[in-house]
Amino acid sequence: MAARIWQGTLALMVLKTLNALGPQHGYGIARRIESTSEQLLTINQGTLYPVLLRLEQEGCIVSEWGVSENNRRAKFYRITPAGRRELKKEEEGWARMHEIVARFSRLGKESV
Amino acid sequence: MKLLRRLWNRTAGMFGRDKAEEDLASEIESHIDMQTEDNIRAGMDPQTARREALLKFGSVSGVKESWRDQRVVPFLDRLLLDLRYALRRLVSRPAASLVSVSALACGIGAAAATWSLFSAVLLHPLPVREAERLVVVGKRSVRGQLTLSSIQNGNLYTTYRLIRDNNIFQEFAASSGAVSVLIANGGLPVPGSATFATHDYFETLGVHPAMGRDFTPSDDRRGAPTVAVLSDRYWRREFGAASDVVGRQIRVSNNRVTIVGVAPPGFRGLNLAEAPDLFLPLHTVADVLTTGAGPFTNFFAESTHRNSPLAWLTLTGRLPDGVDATAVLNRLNNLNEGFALTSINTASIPEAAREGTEQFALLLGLTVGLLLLIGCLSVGMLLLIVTEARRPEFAVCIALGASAARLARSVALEGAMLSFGSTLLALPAAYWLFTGLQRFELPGRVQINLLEFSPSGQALAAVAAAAVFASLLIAGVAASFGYSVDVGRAIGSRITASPRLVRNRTRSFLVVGQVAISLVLLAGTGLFARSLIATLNLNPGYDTSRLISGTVALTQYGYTAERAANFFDELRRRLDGNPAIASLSLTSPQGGMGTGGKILIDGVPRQFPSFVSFTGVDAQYFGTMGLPISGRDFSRDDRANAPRVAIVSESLGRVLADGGNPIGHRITDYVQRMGEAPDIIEVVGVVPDIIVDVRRLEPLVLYRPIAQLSPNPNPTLVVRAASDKQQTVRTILDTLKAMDPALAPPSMLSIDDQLLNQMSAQRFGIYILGALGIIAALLTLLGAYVLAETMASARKREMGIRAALGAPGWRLGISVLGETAKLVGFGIMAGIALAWLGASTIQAFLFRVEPLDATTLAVTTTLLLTLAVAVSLRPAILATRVDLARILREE
Repeated sequence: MAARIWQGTLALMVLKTLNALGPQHGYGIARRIESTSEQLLTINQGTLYPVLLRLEQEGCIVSEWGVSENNRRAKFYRITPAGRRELKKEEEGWARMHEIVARFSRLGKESV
Repeated sequence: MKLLRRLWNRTAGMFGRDKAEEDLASEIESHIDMQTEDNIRAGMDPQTARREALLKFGSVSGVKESWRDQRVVPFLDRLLLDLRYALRRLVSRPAASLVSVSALACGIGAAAATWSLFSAVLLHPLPVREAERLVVVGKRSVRGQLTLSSIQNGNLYTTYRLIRDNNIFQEFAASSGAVSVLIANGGLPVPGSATFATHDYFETLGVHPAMGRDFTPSDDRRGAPTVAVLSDRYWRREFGAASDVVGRQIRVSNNRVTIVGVAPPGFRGLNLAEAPDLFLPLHTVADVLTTGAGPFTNFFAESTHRNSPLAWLTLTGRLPDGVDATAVLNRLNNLNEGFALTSINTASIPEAAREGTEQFALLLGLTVGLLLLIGCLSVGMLLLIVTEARRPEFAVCIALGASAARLARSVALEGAMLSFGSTLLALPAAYWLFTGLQRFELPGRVQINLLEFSPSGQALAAVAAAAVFASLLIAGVAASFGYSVDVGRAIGSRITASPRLVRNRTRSFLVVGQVAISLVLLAGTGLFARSLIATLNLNPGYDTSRLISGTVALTQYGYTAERAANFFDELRRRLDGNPAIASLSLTSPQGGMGTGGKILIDGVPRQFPSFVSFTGVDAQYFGTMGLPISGRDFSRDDRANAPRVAIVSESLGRVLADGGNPIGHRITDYVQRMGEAPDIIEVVGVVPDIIVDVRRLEPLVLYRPIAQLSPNPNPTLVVRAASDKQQTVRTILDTLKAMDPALAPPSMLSIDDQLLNQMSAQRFGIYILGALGIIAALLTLLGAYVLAETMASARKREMGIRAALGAPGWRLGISVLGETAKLVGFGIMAGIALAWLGASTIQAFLFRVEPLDATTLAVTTTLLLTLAVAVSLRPAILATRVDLARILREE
């Protein structure tokens, strides 16, 4: 269960990153997630690839081979309109979830 | 939507695997390189930088593994892999796979064809509406004081009127059997057949014309303009399925007839043995049949019963709603005693043949069942051998962590693929059998090609499902051995001298089963063949093979008795001296008298144990037949006004004179003319029995001079061919054609042909049992060979050691042969037991041979044993040449 939530969260982060920065390769996405979380979140970077494959299968992102900033052959991922819609939906869901969890934490404090 | 898209992409992902894997590998490589470069820029030395990058990425193989699971549907992917593996394994043993698949295919095909045939004959013989509510009215046969179980379904016209007028059935109709008529469609008249039926016939049966209309009450009146409904078959054959056939005119026995409709496909009356070309209104029968016996027949039983055909109408009724057959029968019996009701489907098979047909169905069903079983056994056998050979492989797989279920599945998959291949191959097999079946007749002269049945997809599917189930069952058994594999034992078996073969018993059991089934099928073929030979030996001492006979029926062409007599005189004149013909004579079959009738012999009424046939013959007849006569032959002096004389067959003579000499006994003529004293006929000679009907082995025949009987314009021509039978038949047919171009060529058959025609069921049996038996035997031989081969190779080490210890080569060879012989021996015993169980089924079809005929069983047994030993010779010879040093080197 925990793994699924984690995977779902990672997918959200990937989409968010691609939406904000435009096309990125896998390494770029991993770097960005780490820097955004201010190194609080370290991931095994490899776990990113199955997530990228799933998003691609769902039509949220597309990929093509290109050349990186330091002249390396790399696969670049780009968010699609369907991916943007998915991102919006997920963000709303997370916001709602966050709100609920926050209320519960307040409830805990009040009852003390 | 998202889910579907993903599923589709994952399914598609099962293809192009290699390219995708390559891409992933280079993507990961580039990822790690980029991280390494960043690490170097951050001040690490290259080695540390690379190590840190790898650590950060995590397990590369783990990522690849979960990426792969993500990319495809894992279950399907594994299945596809297993399928590919199974296919590769099957292709690696092409011969064995092909034989197993063909065996099962033959079984499935044969079962489908048989099922379709019997569904056409026994289950759905007539294309009528709600057949279960239709009954045929008959009477229980009465002989003396006894009411017999047999039912006579022919009725007088008066019975039809009686039942019709009492409104017993919801719908009720009468029809005749198929009557011979001459039909002219523009050109010359050709022989055909017609069924006469009341106007409500089609409606009662719930059969609607495919085109045009059926009969109206005004068509079905005496003297009404004749109309006809064509059978679908005739319409296609004679009119090329023309759409404008309604309204056209044809001539039926020289009457103008207007076509009003075409019956639906597959409908050909109520009797499966008949196929009328047309249907005509019942009440026009006397107007249409104006030639032959027609004008003299009192069809409608008016005033007296003289010349009334006694049993010419089939009465069919539809039970009223909510009333069962018993209630209807009670109402009928209130009108008159002795009625009986038969379901319309049962009545469609001629009564005499009903039991035969059921037995035949049973026989055929058992045969096909056995073949299907042997097919399944073959598949099972192949799988067992495969599993056995893979035992070390399985052990290693299990040691490496493969689940036993996965291994079992891989074996089951091979079985499934074999079954699937068989089902595909079964289609041509079924088609081939169908084509073969068309040439045969079922008991009761039901011609299979007239049944117009087609291979039913439903039957094929049901049988294929059964076969797949059976072979999966066998595959399951084979696969369960996958579970029993344990590493220690598998490895251990490589060390001991003689590995214990775990599956040996099951495999031997399969071979025993195959041998048993082949024996039963081959012995059955042998028994049928012996029946046929016995039939051909019925007339020993006489050369019947060159005797040809055929009836030339002239009345239907409008010949009078006088014109016919002139015609035959002319025919004789033209054929006398023809080199193709050794001798020619004319006979005139006069019918006969069934059991129960009485004839006065020397003034005393006598009953006879079986049918007595009366035949008029000319003075050349016995010479043509080559029958020696004790007493005197007929001569030209036995004219119409000369004293009445007769010659009797040996069997009749024996009965007539109570075993003494029949010559000189006097018979009172069985035909009496009104107001005249009956003639007294003196027996002047005796001839040997000639058997032309396999059911009458002691023919009681009374021969009389043709000149002393009323002239017959439809005599039978009996000819002895000088040499070539075909040449003689051609000569006769050419001469007939030259004399009257309108004559349709009569069928001319030799006595042997006639006898063989009566053995149609047996010939059919030879065809079916023979074909299936040969397949079964081939499979058995293959099984025996494979067994000997695997046994020999499994015992190689043992043989090597025995040879090294001084055992002579021939002894080792014998021990391999002995293994095969032992199994075949067991199989033969099982087969004989099986044959003993099935003896009652086949008995009814055998002629002068016992179902457990020792000669047949001995020949079949020897054949199977010899062949089985012959195929195991190669492994046996190899066993004699074992070399321990080489075996040890190989290991």
